[in-house]
Amino acid sequence: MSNYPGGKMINDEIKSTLESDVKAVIAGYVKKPVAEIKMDQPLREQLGVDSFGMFELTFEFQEKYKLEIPEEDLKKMLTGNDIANWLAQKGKK
Amino acid sequence: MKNDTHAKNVAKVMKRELFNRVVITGLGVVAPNGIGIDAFWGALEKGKSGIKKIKAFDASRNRCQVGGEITELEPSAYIDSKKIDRMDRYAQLGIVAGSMALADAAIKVQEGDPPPGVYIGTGLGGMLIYERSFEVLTNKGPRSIHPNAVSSSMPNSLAGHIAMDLGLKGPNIAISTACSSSSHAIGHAFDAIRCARSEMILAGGSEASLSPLTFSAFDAMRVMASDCNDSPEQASKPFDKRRGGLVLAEGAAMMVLEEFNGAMRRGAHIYAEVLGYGANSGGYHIVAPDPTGQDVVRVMRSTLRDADLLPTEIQFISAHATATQANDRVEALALKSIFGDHTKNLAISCVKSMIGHTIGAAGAFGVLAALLAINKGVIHPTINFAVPDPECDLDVTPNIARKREIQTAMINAFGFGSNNACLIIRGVK
Repeated sequence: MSNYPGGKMINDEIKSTLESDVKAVIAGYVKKPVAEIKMDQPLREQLGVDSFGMFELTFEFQEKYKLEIPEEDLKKMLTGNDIANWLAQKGKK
Repeated sequence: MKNDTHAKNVAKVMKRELFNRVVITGLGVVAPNGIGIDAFWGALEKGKSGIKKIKAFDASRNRCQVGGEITELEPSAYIDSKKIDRMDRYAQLGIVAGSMALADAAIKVQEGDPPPGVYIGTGLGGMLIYERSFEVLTNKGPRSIHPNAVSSSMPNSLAGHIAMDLGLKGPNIAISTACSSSSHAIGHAFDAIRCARSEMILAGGSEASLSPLTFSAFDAMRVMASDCNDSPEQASKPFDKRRGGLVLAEGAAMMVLEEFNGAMRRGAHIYAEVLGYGANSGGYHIVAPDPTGQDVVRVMRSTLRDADLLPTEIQFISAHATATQANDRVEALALKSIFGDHTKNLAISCVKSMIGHTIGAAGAFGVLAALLAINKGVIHPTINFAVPDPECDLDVTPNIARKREIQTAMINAFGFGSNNACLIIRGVK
């Protein structure tokens, strides 16, 4: 499911796929094994993603899902969960 | 006249007292015909060309389809995978060559030491990233531009990456004067050390010009050799009557410059001393050289004056020699004008015959080639020399290397923008 969001319903299966996609992108960005990435890990404090890094990281999601993340939403993204939830919400609309 | 001579001698003594001596103690190179100093020198000595049919992009519709492409380097073997994506290719090549130079100089940067500086010449900077970003802008729109587009395409990105990655936190300067960029970078580094503003500087140049727009833009000027698309190694023919233009190349040449006494104290290996630097402009044309060559004569003369040398004390010329008709003719004219009868005693050679024209890195490549010639007692050849040009009647060490002990070398570099730089180095016995 590389081009999420595609469906209207958010079920557990979709959520799990989304989480693994988000983990994979974060892992690729911080150059760590996917297994070491936790969805509730603070991106800034524990994974070293600074404010410019957030632009770079979210750029990856924008490109992957063909979405644009507004600045005000970007500021609220502190963990992988925040990103996955935002993407899920976006998919709901 | 007597007073004049006395005044000059006093000035010489004062200069020696006031200025620090500056020496070169570490070398690094990434060239189309060799990675690392030993491979590079081995190739130069053998007259091995690094010019190939271009693979970096589809050049099949270009007039010129050959270039000095580096095909045997895997930058990820040298650069942290977290950082490599943020660098344009020119920065990757520069980091590799810079790391080699620091390792060769056996420098360990420690807290509390005066921080070494970084002076980098590049004519174009990160053009590959710039071109790709333009493609994204055209195809996908402004909001798809990568956040790193500016920081990886700007001409001082390499200098910044070197400071971050190699820990050199002194003055951090990028100089962009087309084909003379790295000669000016080395010259300014020399000035900074001799005036005691810095004790050690990593200086040189890097360029990665084999990207579709940049390459095609040079091609559009009709300055590139298009007569050897099926025999790439013969494309670059400096000073030969058949010369058909320059061959664009990528590469990086870096060196550690440091204050002489500091180098002696730490027992560094000294390759050569930098004696003089000159800079000027022809104020003539944005790309064409002044056909009289007077600006080139002036820059060589001012460099000799800076080094306190007579023309007869120069033994080797690392010529700029791009292999365009106009440039080589003017350089030959200028050399004969300033060196007169001594011209026949000069060893002259053109590294571009083997690696092509690395634009902003070209001056540093010239310095490297001269410095190695001094250290090895061998003059590398100018390859592809077959038909002499009466207007370029110089001994350019045609095709085969020649054993000759030399001490003092002059390195020329002339850039678009009517921009000239000249350096003089001498071996340290």
